[in-house]
Parts: sequence; structure tokens; C-alpha cells
Amino acid sequence: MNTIKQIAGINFSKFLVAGCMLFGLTACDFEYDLPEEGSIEDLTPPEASFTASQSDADFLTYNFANFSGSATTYVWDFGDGNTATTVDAVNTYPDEGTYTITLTASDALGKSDTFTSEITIVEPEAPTAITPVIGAADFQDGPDVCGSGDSRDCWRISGGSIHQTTSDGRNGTRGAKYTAASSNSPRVTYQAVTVSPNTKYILTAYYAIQSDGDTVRGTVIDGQLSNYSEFSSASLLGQTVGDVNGGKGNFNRLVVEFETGASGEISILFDSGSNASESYLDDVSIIPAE
Amino acid sequence: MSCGDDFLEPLPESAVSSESYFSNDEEIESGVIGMYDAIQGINSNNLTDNFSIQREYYLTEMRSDNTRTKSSEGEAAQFESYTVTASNGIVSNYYISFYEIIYRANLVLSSLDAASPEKAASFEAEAKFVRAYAYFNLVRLYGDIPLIDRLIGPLEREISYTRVATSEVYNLIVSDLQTAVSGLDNTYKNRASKAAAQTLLAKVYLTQGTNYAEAQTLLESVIGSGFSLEPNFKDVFYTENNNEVIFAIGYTSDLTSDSQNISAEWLNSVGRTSGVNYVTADAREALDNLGGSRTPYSYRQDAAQPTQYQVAKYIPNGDANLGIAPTASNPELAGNDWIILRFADVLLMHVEAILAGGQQTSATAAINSFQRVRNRAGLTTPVTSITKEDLLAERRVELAFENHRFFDLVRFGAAQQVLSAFSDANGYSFNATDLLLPIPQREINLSNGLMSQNPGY
Repeated sequence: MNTIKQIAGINFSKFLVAGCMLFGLTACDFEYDLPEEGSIEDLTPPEASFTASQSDADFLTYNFANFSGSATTYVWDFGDGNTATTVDAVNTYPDEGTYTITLTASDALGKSDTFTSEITIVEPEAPTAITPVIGAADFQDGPDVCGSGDSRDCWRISGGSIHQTTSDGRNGTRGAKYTAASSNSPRVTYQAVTVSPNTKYILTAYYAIQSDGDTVRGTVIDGQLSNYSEFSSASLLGQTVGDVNGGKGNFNRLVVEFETGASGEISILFDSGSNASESYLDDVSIIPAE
Repeated sequence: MSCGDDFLEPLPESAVSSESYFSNDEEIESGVIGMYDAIQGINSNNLTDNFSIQREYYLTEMRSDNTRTKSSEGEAAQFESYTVTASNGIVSNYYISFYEIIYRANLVLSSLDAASPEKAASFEAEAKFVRAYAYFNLVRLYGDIPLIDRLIGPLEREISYTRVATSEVYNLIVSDLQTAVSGLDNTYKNRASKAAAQTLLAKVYLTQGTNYAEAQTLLESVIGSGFSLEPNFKDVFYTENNNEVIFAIGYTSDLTSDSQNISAEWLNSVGRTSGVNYVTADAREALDNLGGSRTPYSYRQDAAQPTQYQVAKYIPNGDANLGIAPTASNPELAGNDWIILRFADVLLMHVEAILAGGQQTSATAAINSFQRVRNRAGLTTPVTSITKEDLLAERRVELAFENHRFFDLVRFGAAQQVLSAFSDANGYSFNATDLLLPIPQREINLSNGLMSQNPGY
């Protein structure tokens, strides 16, 4: 029994030493193998990719969606000193500016790929409503007015006869004049205007009438007309009739409050009633309400 | 016939495919009905049958913060935990079902030469509506997808398996819907209509984030077309073809061939599952806070398992407490129509179009539409301005469990933020790549290398 044990013991330790040497040599040899030997190429190396989107709540915060392929670990460098190792990421930047974001995607075989993208952060401006410029709003003629020098060319519509101009405007300047009903066909003052959709506006103009019962009317049309004949069936956004008889030269304010719909393409039209005397219009403006 | 040149891979051989298969109006009409049959899906638990929209809630509601499975088991639970695999059978079933719809629409379109001059335009409009509807869901769920706009033959592998950019898919959707808007009227609710096409086109524009003004005009046209909100929210789901419905898929009770098992599966151990589309705590909280009188008809406690909550819309076997009568003698053969588009959606999209991508609006038209939806829910305190966040929250409670939530989150640009937080709170594993489903592995295998997978799968 003892002998056998001894022999076995000797044998065992010999084998052990040999075994260690064998394994040791194999392990060491492996280090000197060419990398390709006994392994196959990484056929699916990582491909880094991401998209960035600005948060609604805070313009300085961006969400990053990771679309990398064949990768297991990720390192984000947000370009502001912050980093992350999550799959998707969120970063809040200190300030406006341009930042370069780098995503390094790596697989477990030590291969990696980087993807870089730049974002420029600017504080979004609160949407401001268009304040339209109205051609010849004060009915003054001049070298560059309405392309022709005649202020009335800003206000014409086919099928309607244009107002006359007069020196009896507001504050002693020129203005528009509507003749009395008996002496001529109805005169109209029309202009197409572009404003912002779904926005509240105030149209202001000044009018003067000389006889009780006379009127000057301001209308805002949803859409733009190609002929005066379309006016009677047009969809209206607002209309106000001015009937305060202040006498010639004494102008009263005419206000039409209106709100645009889907389209900002609108038009304004002024005309007079079946007036006994001449009536006047001047100084038209449209401004966003509030 | 099925061995002929026009046999269409990978679409099922059960449908005969041939140019001008239909030879007169009557036959084309049957082809038109066949399109809706494909949307309706087969009432079955066999995964080789096209379930079509009958399993759509897995891909939409259960993939959002609204619902989950009752017991988090199996393939069904991959959706809630954001661990969907490319071999998921429900993902593949929906994909095949929806290409079947497209195939049937293309079949109608290929037969237009055989139609009488009076009917040709309306057949075309109807088929294009259906095709656009199917592509719109597919492109939102799967991203870049094969674009098949005609009947194709078995050797046209390239078109069957080449994924085209979403923008190209949207081009077809928009042009199809434009044709549908001009060629349809408002005769039907269970078939395509002008209002349905206008509503869907507006939704497409909102999804693309373009043409807000056109979207608004389309929606205003629908608003002016005689639809109205049902005074009682409950009636929306339990009175068929009510005045709020714009487009619904019709089902008939107790007929295996024409019924649905959508909502039977939402019950406790009725049907094949132990219960799916169960309401999350997150959705209950939203409904409790913002739902108003909608809440009791949106979710209810599970009588058999009081810690769990079920959807209360489309209950097939009635609920005496809620005053809802059974719609079928067997809940698995339910006849409740499935609403795809309804007027409340139109009103809320109207607000969205006016917001036009902005953060806030106080435009009168927007306030009016928003207030109409809230007034019906008993929330009559006047609203003076609406933020994008308000609108998303309102859509969630108004349209809960109607397969809108996931698409809304994506369209509002809120999906990554909201679903990351929801996933973290529940120990799920959401990543941004989960916003697209995988292309079914089966398609990738059949494509022989033509098709690539979405990132993250």
C-alpha cells in the first residue's frame, strides 16, 4: 500500500509538473501566434450611429437615440465636457453654441467605430406674428409708390372702380375719397395682404363722413379676390361700419378685429354706403392683437 | 392559376393573382369588399392566419405606456418590456396581414380597365384609400419597407424585398389619399369615405410635420361635414356607426367568419391568453387625473383579480355595473366594430394642425375644438391656451386603448423621453431603437440577403 501510494505520489507530482509546463508553454506560445491563427476575423465590426433631437421642455436639453449596430458598449462625448456610457443618452448643455458629439461604439472583440455629429443650439424664438406692410396705407403719391407713383395702384381690383384721392385726408395730407351715391358707381379700395395663420389681428383705419346716415365700411376677407364680383360670396373674417358723422376733415377711428384661419392669405376692402355726400378714408394699418 | 406567371411572393397563395382578374363592376366590387376583409382579419388563434388589426394593440398599445400583459408571459410580453425579437410571431403576422391588404388593393387597381366609366373612379379612390391606410401603419411601425404599388410576379424579388426610404413610401401614401379625397363621398362608415381620406391625409401631414395649413383645411372640411361627438362617451363604443364614427371596421357577432376576438383577449382568461392589453398604473393615473366622465368607460377593475385593471372600451360580454349589454353569446365571436377614425380625433388633430409644431396656441379655432372634446367629458372649465403637452395628455385620455398612443408619442417627438422614463420606472429595457419594430426574420431569410434588419435587433 505504502509503495503504491509513493509511486502514485511521485507519478502524480511528475505529471503535475509536466502538466504545468505543458499548459504554460501552450499559453506562452499562444501569445506569439499570429493574430489570425486559430481565430476568425470580426465579420460584423461595430457601426456607430445616432440621431439627436431637441427637447420640447428645455431647448438646451437633447435626447440622443443610438442606432449603432454590432456593438455592446458605448461611450458618448457630448462636446461640453460631459460624457456617458448608456445606450441612449440625454444631455443638458450649459449654453447656446455649437457642440460636436462623438459616439464610440465597441464590441467585445475590441473593435470600435466612432460617429461624430455637430449640433448648433440656438434659443428658439417665440413665433412672432407677421405685421404686414400695407402699400400706400396713407394714400400718398410718390416716386416709388406702388411701382407707378400713383397710390391708387396699390388698391385696385378688377371689376371695381377705384376711389378718388383728395387733399382732404387726415391731418391735412392726402386721403381716399368716395363719391356720393348719385354721381358715380360704387368705389372700392382693395388690397391683398399676407399675415400669419390662426392669429388675432386689429385692422385700423380712419374715416370722415358729412351727412347723417352715410357710412364707410371696412371688411377683412378670408382669401384673396381676383375680381370684385367675388366679394358678395366671399368668406369674411370681420366687418365694421363707421357711421359717426364728424363732418369733413374730422376723422373717426374704424376698427375691425379679426382672427385668421388656416391661411394667412387675406384681403381688405373698404367701400362706402349709398352716401348723400362725399366720404373719406385714410391711414390704414394691420397689427397683431396683444 | 396560382402556378402562372403572376403568382405573387411572398403573399399567400390562397388569393389568386392575375392581371385583370376581375372582369366587371360586380366582380371588382367583391374585390373591394375583399380589401376590408383583409383589414378585418381572421378570428382565429392560429398564428398562420392573418389576424390583421385584431392583434394591432400588441404593436401599439402594449408597446406604449398604456397597457401590458396580465402575467408578463411569452412572446406577448416582449412588447411591454421592449425586448421584441425579429422572430416574434405577432410582428410577422401583422406585417404579412398588411401586405395582404396592399395586395388586394393592388388587385382592384389592376382591374380598373374592366370597370364601367361611372364606377372606375370610385373603385380607384377606394382602393387607394385602403392601400394608403395599410402603408401608413406599416411605415410607422417598421420604418423603411418594400414599396409594392402594383401586382408583381414571383420573379420580382427585388421589389418584394428591397426596403425603400420612408419618404418614398409617404409620397405614395399622400398621392393615394389625394386621389381618395377627390374620388369618394361620405356614404359609408365601414368603407372608405371622403371624410376618412381627409382625416387620414391630415394625420399623414401631421406625422410628416409638413403642410400644417393643408392639414387644418382638410380637418375643417371634415368638421363641416355633419359629424358630431356622441353626448355620452360610452355610446361611442357601444352604439355602432354612431355620428362620431368616421371609419370603422365592421364585425358581426357569432359568425366565425365575420366576428372578432380583439377584446375577448383583454378579459381574464377568456380566449387564448390569460389576459392582454391590461391597463398600466401609469395610464390609470392619467385617466384618473384628466379623464373626467370618460374614465369609467376607459378602464375597470378586473372582478376576478382586483389588483388588475382592464380596458372598458369594446367589452364583448357586457358589464352590468356600467350598463353595457353583451354583443355576442360568445365573447370570442364579438361583433363590436373597431373604430379607426372618429370625430374626437379630428377635433384634437385640428388643434395639432393649428399648433403647427409650436409649443402653445390660444387661437380661437383651436380652443373651440379642444373645448368641445373636454366639454363632452364634463370638463367644462374654459381653456384659454393649449400647450403641446396639454394636447398629448388630452389625446391620451380621450383615445386611450384605441391604438393611438404609440403613434402620438412618436409624432409629438416625445416617445424617447416618455418611454425611457416609463421603462426605467417599471424595470423594462427601452432603447430608442425600440421605436421601430424589427423586420420579421422570415422576410429577411426569404430575401436572400436583399433585406437588412432595423438597428437594435
